[in-house]
Amino acid sequence: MEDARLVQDFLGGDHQAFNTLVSRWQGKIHHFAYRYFASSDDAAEITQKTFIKAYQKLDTLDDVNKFSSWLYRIANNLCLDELKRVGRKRATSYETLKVAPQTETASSADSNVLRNEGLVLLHKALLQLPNDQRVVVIMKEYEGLTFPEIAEILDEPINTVKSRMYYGLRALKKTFDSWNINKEVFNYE
Amino acid sequence: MNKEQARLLLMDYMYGELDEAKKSELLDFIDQHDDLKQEFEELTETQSFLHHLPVQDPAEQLVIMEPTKASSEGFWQNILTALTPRNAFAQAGFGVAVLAFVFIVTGALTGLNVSYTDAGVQLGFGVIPSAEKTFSAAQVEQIVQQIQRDNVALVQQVVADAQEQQNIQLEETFASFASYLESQRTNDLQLISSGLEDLKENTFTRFRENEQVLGEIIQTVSYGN
Repeated sequence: MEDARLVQDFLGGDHQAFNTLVSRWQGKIHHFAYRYFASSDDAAEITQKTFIKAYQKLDTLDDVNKFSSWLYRIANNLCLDELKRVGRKRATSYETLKVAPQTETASSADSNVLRNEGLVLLHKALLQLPNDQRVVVIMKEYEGLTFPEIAEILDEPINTVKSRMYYGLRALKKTFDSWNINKEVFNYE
Repeated sequence: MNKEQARLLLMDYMYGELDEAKKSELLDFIDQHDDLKQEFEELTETQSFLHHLPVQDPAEQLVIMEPTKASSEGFWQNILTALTPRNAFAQAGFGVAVLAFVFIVTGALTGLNVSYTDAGVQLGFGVIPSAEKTFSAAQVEQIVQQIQRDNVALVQQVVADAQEQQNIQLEETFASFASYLESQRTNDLQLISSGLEDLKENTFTRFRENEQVLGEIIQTVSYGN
């Protein structure tokens, strides 16, 4: 059943329809928040708040066909609120991340260790992006949203979204180079 | 097409959102610019790294529980909704009626007493005590006279004190002036006395000189004869 139909059913009084929407979107919202914060606890909290807010505000959704964009917008706003709430703490942790990577991984004999460390650094590199670039990279790279969809969720011009994606990838490339993350780390090709 | 436009189109191309016509145009443009070609390769490699990022699934399934409909809050809410009129004017009238009802009930329970007099409306709880008697015209006149007498006495006292103070100051001034005159007279007498002494001495000196001159004249005349 389409999301729009489930939304209409819920607005018509079918409570179970909302639980169907939750089970359908919980994983995606959780993944989104997890990649945003790199924390399972934060991701679970954001996911829970997102669906509670959606439950309370679903009657304000103008177009039922845009439920997914609306849900991502709620999740993104909650992520931004969380960043503002504990901004100082997170900013400190980002600072420590910047000096964490070393080149020792490149000389490690164990390829599995090398790969695991590479994955950790990959997440850290993503966390170092500015918020506006990070959310675009996550939505595009991992949530599979199109640029027009991302532009609608963020309420930004589509070229702004593409520009943030471009500069986000450039910044990641720079970080990967400085941390010696290359194809060998992931057994690329 | 310029490089900035090419970079935006490159994003569309990398994620399969570019139509064929634009795609060939972009690839031709990239072929002509080595720096863009290198950027494209680097961004593609970066994109391939990102695919390896791990993710964790949620630990438990969220379930939104439907609120129970048989709650007492819902029961009263339903009654209130049923009683409240739909029309705005009727709602306003209903509100006024409820307020009046609450006022009456509260008044009955608290012994509210409302009375009208020439002075206005009186509100109170229980029996309203009669107002205190006011002064009669004669009493007012008597009080005014008493106040006037007190004022006169007070003014007389103030004037007497001022006069006494002035007298004291005048006496002090006269005494000071008399002392000054006495001192001045003494000085004058001393000056006069001194002048007389000087005059007396001068006169004596002149007599002596005259006698001396006369003596010399007489002596000269005697010797001449």
